[in-house]
Amino acid sequence: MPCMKGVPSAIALILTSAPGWAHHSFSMFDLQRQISLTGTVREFQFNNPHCFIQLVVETDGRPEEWSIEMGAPAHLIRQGWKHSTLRPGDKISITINPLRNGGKGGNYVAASSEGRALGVAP
Amino acid sequence: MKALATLLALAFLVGSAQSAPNSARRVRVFAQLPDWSGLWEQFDVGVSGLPNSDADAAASLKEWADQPPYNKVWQEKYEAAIRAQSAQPEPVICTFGFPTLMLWSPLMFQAVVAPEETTLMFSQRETRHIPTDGSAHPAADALWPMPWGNSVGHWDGQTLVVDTVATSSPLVRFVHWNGGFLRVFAPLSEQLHVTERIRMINANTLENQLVIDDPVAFSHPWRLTRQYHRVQSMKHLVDEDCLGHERNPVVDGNYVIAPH
Repeated sequence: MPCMKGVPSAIALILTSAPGWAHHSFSMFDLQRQISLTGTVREFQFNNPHCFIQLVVETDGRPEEWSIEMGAPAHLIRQGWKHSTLRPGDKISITINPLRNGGKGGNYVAASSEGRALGVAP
Repeated sequence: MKALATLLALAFLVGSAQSAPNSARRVRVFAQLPDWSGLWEQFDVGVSGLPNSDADAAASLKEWADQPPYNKVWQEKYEAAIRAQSAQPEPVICTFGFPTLMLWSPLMFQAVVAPEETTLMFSQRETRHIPTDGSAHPAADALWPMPWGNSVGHWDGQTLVVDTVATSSPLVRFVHWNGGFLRVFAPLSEQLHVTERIRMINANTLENQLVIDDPVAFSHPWRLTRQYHRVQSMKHLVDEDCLGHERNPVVDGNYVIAPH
């Protein structure tokens, strides 16, 4: 399970079994895989029940839009995020658990901008 | 004219009562109550909605291991419910209800302690009202099952003792299934009776000792202890709306992300 390297054991156990911690299941995501994307924020949807980052990624010279699912605003704020943390045009790198169905989307794991981690709780 | 004068006098009296300062007795009672201000949570579910630390994950796993002490008949009902629910997409949880709110919930809550009532307000709009003014449960013909039940409380020193009946919520539980976990609704009867003893054990931790008795479904009372940790990084509750701008419809039996 190389992609789980560095993940604490109890979290890894939960991630491999994919229960729904929040208001619905995580079964649509492959929680045992992580992929990294670098792109430009088209929109940061800071709303309930899930926030989304709409990220435009250049693939073979063509723009592709990814939908990155996050938790509810309450839990983002809990970790130091604001509705203004991301703005259209921001360049970010992001790690996600991809959708199992191969779609352009995934579950948020971590993100950074210019080498600085985004949304870190004080 | 006389009626008008009477109405004006009544309005004056009501207005005076509303603007009156706290009585010396109320202030004295208030001063003896613990300070539970701030926000509390069982687990930190992080930005993604998954455990934010090994400690959060470990605590959750430990609490999922608690087994309701069903009697034989209700154990069979429970297992049938698991089998039925395993064949469907995991349900969306818009109401955790009581007692799940206090046993396992990713929601933050705010505790407001006043002489007459302690109110627990959860971020997903669920609220527990716990009167401490000497009220008893309503008479049987005025009680009906509700998601949070009917609670009454009293203070035993710095410990809030809560008695809850008339609940309608099943337990939200995680069970081992197919090498992983499955979230299921575990049945409870309308005879559920829960006693809680909630107290601060240090500046940043509330502890709740629960005795969950279901004389219809359980073979004996279920005794559990839970802790709630102070949320240091937030001062105010932020609303969670279960539906809102939902982008996760179920298609062919699986959740998906709807296009923007």
